[in-house]
Amino acid sequence: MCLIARHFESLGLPTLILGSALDILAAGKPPRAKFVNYPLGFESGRFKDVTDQLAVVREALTGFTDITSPGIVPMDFEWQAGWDILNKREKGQLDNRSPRTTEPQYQTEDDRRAAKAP
Amino acid sequence: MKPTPTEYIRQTRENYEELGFEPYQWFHAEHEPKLAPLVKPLSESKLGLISTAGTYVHGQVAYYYKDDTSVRAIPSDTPVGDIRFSHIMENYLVEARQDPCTVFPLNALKQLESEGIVGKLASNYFSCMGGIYSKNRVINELLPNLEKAVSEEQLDLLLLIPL
Repeated sequence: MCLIARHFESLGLPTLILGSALDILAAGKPPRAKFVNYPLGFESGRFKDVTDQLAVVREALTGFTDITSPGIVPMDFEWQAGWDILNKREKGQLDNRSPRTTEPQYQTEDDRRAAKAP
Repeated sequence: MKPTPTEYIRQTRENYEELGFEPYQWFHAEHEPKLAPLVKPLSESKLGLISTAGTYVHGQVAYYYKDDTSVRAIPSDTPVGDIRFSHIMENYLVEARQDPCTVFPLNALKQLESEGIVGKLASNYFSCMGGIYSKNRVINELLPNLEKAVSEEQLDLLLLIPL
């Protein structure tokens, strides 16, 4: 995502990354980024928590004006649901990834049928 | 106590090795980025969104997992229930597939527009596939595809949400 951000900034379009992987963000030196220390998959807020999702996005967007030199600003949100889910995902216990092929990977079979309909 | 940020690069490298995947090379920038100046405040700006979570809409062709450099336009008035994801990191999309707003904040952005925090939302947001192995294909295929798509929206500001 940092490559994308840097590309659009070089074209004159201000960007802001809202991300949850601090080391990946830091490696890419983003123009403007807000870091929320939630597990991946919750970059814009907690599961079915409308209040948290709005708060995260609201706070993130302040970065457009508050970040005046390139960098990553951590946000003050705390993940309260426990981090075991992350360990399971990273250790492969919840890893059901499909192989890297050139076949579209639909979320549901209904999606596949709908996409192929004339 | 807050946990220290997760070391995703190290953990994913180790995990990929165990799974037999090729090692993924994350982008490491050598130079400081340019910072484009804001022309207007957020409250007067047209805001766009790019998601790298392989986001698509029911009825669209899904992404594939081997270096897909295509782009989907996601109308910003798409019902949340029609948002889907196809991304190599499916293991991180279990909840997002039930509540897409955890990575694709359709509702929050609408609310912030209605409050006047955001001036105007783009007609179309855009998505692509993260986790592309070839940096050359990102630069030579994905970035031009995104640039062409985004240019049609005449944006003032662009929010980017990776998975």
